[in-house]
Amino acid sequence: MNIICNVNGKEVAVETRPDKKLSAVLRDDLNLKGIRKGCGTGRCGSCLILLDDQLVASCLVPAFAARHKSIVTIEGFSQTKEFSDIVTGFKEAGVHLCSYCAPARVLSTAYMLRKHIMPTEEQINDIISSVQCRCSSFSHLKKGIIQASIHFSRRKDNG
Amino acid sequence: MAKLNRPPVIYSPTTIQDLLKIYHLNPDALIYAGGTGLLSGAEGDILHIRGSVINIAGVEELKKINRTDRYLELGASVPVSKVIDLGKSIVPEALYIALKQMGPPQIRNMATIGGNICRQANTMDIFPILHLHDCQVELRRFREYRSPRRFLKGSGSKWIPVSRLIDNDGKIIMESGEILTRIRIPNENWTFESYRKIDGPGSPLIFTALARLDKHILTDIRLSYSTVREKLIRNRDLEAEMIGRRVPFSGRDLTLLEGKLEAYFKGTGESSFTTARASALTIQFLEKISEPVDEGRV
Ligand SMILES: Cc1cc2nc3c(=O)[nH]c(=O)nc-3n(C[C@H](O)[C@H](O)[C@H](O)COP(=O)(O)OP(=O)(O)OC[C@H]3O[C@@H](n4cnc5c(N)ncnc54)[C@H](O)[C@@H]3O)c2cc1C
Repeated sequence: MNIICNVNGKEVAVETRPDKKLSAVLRDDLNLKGIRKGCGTGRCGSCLILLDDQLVASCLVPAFAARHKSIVTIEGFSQTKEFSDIVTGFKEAGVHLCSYCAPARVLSTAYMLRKHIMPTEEQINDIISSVQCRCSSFSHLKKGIIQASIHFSRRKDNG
Repeated sequence: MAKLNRPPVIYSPTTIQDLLKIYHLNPDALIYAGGTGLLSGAEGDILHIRGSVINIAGVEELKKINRTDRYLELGASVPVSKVIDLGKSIVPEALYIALKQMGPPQIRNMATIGGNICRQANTMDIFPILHLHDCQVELRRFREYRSPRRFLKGSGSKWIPVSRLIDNDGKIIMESGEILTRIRIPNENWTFESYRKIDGPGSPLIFTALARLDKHILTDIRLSYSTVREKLIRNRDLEAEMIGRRVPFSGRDLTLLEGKLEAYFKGTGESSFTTARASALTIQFLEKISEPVDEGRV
């Protein structure tokens, strides 16, 4: 099946089985290694992407469901100013992420900050639960997300 | 290397009419909504879906949310996260709590309301709440009418109480080619709503409760317990016994109710652990509704 979609801002056509996991298509066929191999049940969060701006587990998405959709992976997101906001916020709070979960942690934070620029504690706790890796402590992550939200909103205010 | 089966044939209808027609012609096809109940846990890079798949994600009509004075109507493909976004003031409290607890955010973005209802699962998360709220669901299938003058094609639609969607064994009853299209939740004011999910290997229990008070009189109460064994337990006799009573319940009343509930549960064959859990949750709820409230929902 020919899957045409927009990946990180570029139109892409991939010839693949329709029931191949999107995580595998992105990682192996399109060489986007920021998608990590994880639990395969959607729970661990290693393969998170933004699909039409929604945070999803790409291991649960079959290739056919990505047709004509827009996909953002960490490779594309790292070119944005939002990425710098988040990375700066995390650094300021002393968050050191392992290379395995960093892409998913950054993308999930971005997803939440786009929805709630000044998130509540509940919203922060919830988004932390999207990635199960515990390389960074909960309290550090919380601080990091708050710092990121300050940079996010400051930049939005400055247009 | 494992041998690959033939790739599935994918249908991607964009209208309900097309969807119903395709399903009518391919009654064995797999309906794919959010995929979280179907595909989780598949090993390797291929999901190995056999036969044909009807991807209903492109049918916009199934993603509509409609509100009237009388009800909240959700299209079957509305994602769980979109329902949560409607907020506590619009979504019944118990449903709101249940949806917020449903997996991590990435799952709630993918999972649909219809997929949750149609999924054959041991303990159903949303179903007991919809059941207690007397929700209706719309089922549709392709139908051809032969009239003397012309050959009409259309879709047969029927609304049924959600309780009729599941048989005594907890199995979904849908006819071949039938699709769940809409869910209607009545706008009713309940003074108290509770949803508690106790997860545990072998003995999960979901307790759902609604209560309405008027000047300290319990005017309505509905309690349900979902367990792996019995699917959904509701004792209407016990509910009827409580209706009309004044709250707070006395300690003696609570002990009596607890005894009746435990006796009822024992009759269903549930374990003593589940029985004790269920009665503790019920008593907690009855104590909660006995606390003084100023006004409105709590
Ligand atoms: C990590 C993880 C955590 C989860 N946590 C929970 C949880 O806490 N509680 C819970 O209840 N579930 C949970 N689930 C299960 C699942 O996410 C939900 O049941 C979900 O709502 C299913 O919806 P879906 O749109 O993904 O359905 P799908 O997987 O697409 O479909 C499920 C079933 O319903 C059928 N179907 C779907 N839509 C229709 C329709 N409109 N008409 C007829 N048939 C239809 C499909 O053919 C299939 O048989 C979890 C899943 C994962 C992967």
